[in-house]
Amino acid sequence: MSTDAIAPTRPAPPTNPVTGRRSFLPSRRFLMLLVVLVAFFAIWEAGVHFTGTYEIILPKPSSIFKALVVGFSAPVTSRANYLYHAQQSFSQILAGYAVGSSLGLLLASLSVRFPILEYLMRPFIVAINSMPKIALAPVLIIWFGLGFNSKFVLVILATFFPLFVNGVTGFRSVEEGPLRLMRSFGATPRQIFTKLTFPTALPFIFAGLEIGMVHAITSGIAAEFLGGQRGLGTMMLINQQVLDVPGMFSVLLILAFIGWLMSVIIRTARRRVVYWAPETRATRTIVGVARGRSQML
Amino acid sequence: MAVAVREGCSIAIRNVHKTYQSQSGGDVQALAGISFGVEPGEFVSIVGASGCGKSTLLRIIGALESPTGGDVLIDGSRVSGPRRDIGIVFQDPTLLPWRDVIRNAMIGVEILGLDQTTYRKRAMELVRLVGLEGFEKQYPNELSGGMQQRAALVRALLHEPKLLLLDEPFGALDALTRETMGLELLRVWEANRTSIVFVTHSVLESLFLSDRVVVFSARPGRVVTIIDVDLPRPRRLDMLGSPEVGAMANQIRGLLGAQVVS
Repeated sequence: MSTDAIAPTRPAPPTNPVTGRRSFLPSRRFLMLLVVLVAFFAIWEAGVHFTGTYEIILPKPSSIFKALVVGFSAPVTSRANYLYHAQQSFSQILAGYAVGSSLGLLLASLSVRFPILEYLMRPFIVAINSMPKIALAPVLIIWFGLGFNSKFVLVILATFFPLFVNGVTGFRSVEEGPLRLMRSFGATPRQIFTKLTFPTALPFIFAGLEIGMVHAITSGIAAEFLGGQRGLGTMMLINQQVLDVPGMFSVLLILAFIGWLMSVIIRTARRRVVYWAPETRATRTIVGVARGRSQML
Repeated sequence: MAVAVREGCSIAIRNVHKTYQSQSGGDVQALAGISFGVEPGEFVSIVGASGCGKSTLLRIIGALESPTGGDVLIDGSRVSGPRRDIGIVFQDPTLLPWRDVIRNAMIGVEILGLDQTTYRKRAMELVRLVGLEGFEKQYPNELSGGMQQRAALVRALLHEPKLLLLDEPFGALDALTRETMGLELLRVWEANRTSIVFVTHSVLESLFLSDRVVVFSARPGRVVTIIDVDLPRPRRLDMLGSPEVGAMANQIRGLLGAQVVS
């Protein structure tokens, strides 16, 4: 720490390399964002209020907020509490995601190791992957009931494929040079896998994990629309049936929050684990999300 | 050739042939009966036009490929699989991007199951020897091409090989870096007492570095001649301007040129 009496000079705001114009200071930028957000909700609130729009068409932000408060303040074990439903959806999605991703990676590594296995599995993989996974939900509900299990299985199916496909691509992306290096030291197949193949595949695996998470949330919630007793998707349907539109919007907010939280967790993990690989266009979240959505629908 | 007693190993290459199956089904002969030897601690270069099979021979010595005929003896025993007493530097540094310099150097030690603490110390010393001090914790993408190749050299030397195989290691570097790297390689060689087989297509580089230069013909590779380089050691860059070196270089270029025409 310097003990200089000279006051530190303020860093000049960064300039845009293209236009040469000064960018805004972060604090200033944040203030502007806050103003825009407040204005947005104020105009929304006032618009609904002064045009006399029915709240079953477009609820006021204040009503949505009220619904959120009511939803979270009900007794925790009661069906009226959002946590009761969120817990169900969340555990379905997370459990299915964990199992589906692991299975996808496991089968990917096996089929890279034993090409005959991949050849034999290919027709099944292509057939199931070409199906919109959500279309399987009605069948799965017959097989596994209206509760946890049917959604769990659907989420497994939805996350399996992104991880399987990206895993195979990743494991195959090992180049001849590093492989020759490993062989020159007499590395065993196991050493080659742990020290070369797996790390090489990690950027692909993380891209798969991001796409898989989008699939998991989408299919987990959509499956609840088709039949369920508990969960945020079920909550949406219940609110729809009683025309509680502010309630529906409040559930949407919770879903957005869960989606955002999960993508932040995965991206943070990626930065920690795959610190050496810069985020490329191909692995960037926004593309992953777009690709994930288009495959789902 | 009075070679000081070193701890390197001897190599005997006996009538080595290599024929590849080309994609169109025909046979491509890469090596047609190569025979020569390397004394313990000797620095031997192989020069030849691209595609003459010199890299193939190096990979055969390193057991990364097997010959279709003939054999290679190292210290009298036939090469049949990867040996822990060989270190290889490829043209491409092939550093693993997720490992820093030291951990890249340690990969061979890890695979061979050698003692990590002992060799970590040695890695630090070698890093200093090749002039990478201060870069131990850097990742490959933070290093220049020359520095990456130095790290690859440390990796090849770390497990104390008796034979160093270098496959155009400085081929991708600029001329100035290349000269410096050559000097450093000689310094490292003096300190580590290995035998070296060095593949290059630079005639001057081969003369500057080696005790003997093996000149290969164009494909299929044959040994055209072997030239003794009677320059005193330690070598200095100004020796490259001497009439002796000029004469040898002209002789080699003449042989390579004649091959290209025929």
